Amino acid sequence: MPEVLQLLVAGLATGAVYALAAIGFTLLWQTSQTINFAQGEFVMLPAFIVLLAMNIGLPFPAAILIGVAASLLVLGFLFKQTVVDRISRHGALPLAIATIALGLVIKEGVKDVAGPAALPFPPLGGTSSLAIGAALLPVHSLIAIVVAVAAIAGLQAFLDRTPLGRSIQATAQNPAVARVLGIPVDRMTRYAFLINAALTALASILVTPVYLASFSNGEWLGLCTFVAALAGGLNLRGAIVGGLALGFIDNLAAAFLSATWRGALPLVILIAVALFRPQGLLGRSEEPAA
Amino acid sequence: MTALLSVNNLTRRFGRRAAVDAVSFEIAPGEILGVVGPGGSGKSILFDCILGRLAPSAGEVRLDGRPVTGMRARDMSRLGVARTFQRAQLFPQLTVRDNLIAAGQERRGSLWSRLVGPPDAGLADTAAEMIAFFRLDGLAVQTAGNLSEGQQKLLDIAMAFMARPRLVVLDEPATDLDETVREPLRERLRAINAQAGTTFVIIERNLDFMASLVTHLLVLAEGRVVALGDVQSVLASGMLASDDG
Repeated sequence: MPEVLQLLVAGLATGAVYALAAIGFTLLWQTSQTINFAQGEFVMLPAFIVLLAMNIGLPFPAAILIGVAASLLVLGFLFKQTVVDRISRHGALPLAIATIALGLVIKEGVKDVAGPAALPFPPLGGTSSLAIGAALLPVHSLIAIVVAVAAIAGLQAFLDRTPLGRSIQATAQNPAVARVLGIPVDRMTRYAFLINAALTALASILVTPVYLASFSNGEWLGLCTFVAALAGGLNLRGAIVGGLALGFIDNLAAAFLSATWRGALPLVILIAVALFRPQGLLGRSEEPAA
Repeated sequence: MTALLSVNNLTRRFGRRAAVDAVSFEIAPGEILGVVGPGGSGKSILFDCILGRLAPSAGEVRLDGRPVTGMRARDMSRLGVARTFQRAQLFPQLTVRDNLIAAGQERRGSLWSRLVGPPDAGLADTAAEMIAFFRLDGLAVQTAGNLSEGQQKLLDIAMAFMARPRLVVLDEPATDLDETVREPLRERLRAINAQAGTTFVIIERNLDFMASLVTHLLVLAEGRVVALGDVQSVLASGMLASDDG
């Protein structure tokens, strides 16, 4: 029984982080038809910026702020301005290929600057555990769940309950008619990129204590994000369900299967969804109408 | 009276063929102009040129005497121009109410108020009025993508009026609507025209719907204006006799 609770918490913590990244991935697809194959590297990079800020003497909370701010600037604003805006006019495929290239640049750049060795990353809430009965639950996992769930709930409330969020949703669902109605579609798309940058920074800070800060983290995280978003049907609620489901399955596989099989599992899920539920777990995709 | 919309020698060529050929007309505030013509006569291309979706090869469009040729859709919206679509264009995952509010909220408040202000942007009452006015009662919280084709069409039209536009360009508003909805729609458009003084330009294949609604008619054939004037004189001229749509 304690093992079940521990697996549940670990699955929820991992799944919530996958969900954060998958929501951002979905938001970019919906608002700008950007398939961001660098999303895994977007989750990997902020942790290294935090570590860099700590290396120059900043305390952990300040380093986190620097990491989030740098992510907003580089992975949100600059990514949109210098990569997406310039390449998207040539079509979705060149843009997807450009994001693959960007992912490689980020990965190799981090490897060159920080080295190939995995670095420890301080967990939020320290390394202590909470004993519930016979189960020992890591505090940082519980904090990760609370922070990720709060972020998802906050984002959902922003999108559903504010006029600005409604405009972003309108842009995602039908940019042509949004323009006709006077909605500043380009600005809404920029906000979506900033939201994605904030979500990936948050995911980075929450997941890196578990995975350690490694230049290669983006490969696994990118795959899980991609599978979670696609399994969810490329809609925001689906991305949450896809992320959580993948987190649970990932942790169950870690407990009961070999590491080799665990690595193949996201691809097995992707194939299964494509074969048996191509519209995604929650049904209809929110692909833009025009 | 100064024309609200004036179109002067508007031409759009595709290669050597002129899909719209030196079309000129004016609409005064409060008038309803119907544009008719057979399929391929250039009605939709004329609309697209007026609304900035297509760049004209020659000619100009003026709103209140000010040139707006090729102006972006968003800027046209700011000047009080709205449009509907031949096939309803909605935000399919938003509710009917949120579709209406989204259609009206851009011209209200600052960026900050859209972040922390009331979720309905102060448009809940207007949305409720539109829902009742366009016979969408009971559907306010229904997701727009789940509405019937006719209901989607009515919602598309209702959305055009949320920002209180001065000029509304309606693209085949009666198409896909059954007879029980057409007549109420005509009455409602007439009521908006009478009460708010809103000016309409309408493309419509259904001549009965058109003839009893518009004040002026423009007949297009092969991209050219073949008749233009008040509705009675154009109908009396027989220029519509051979029209197939």
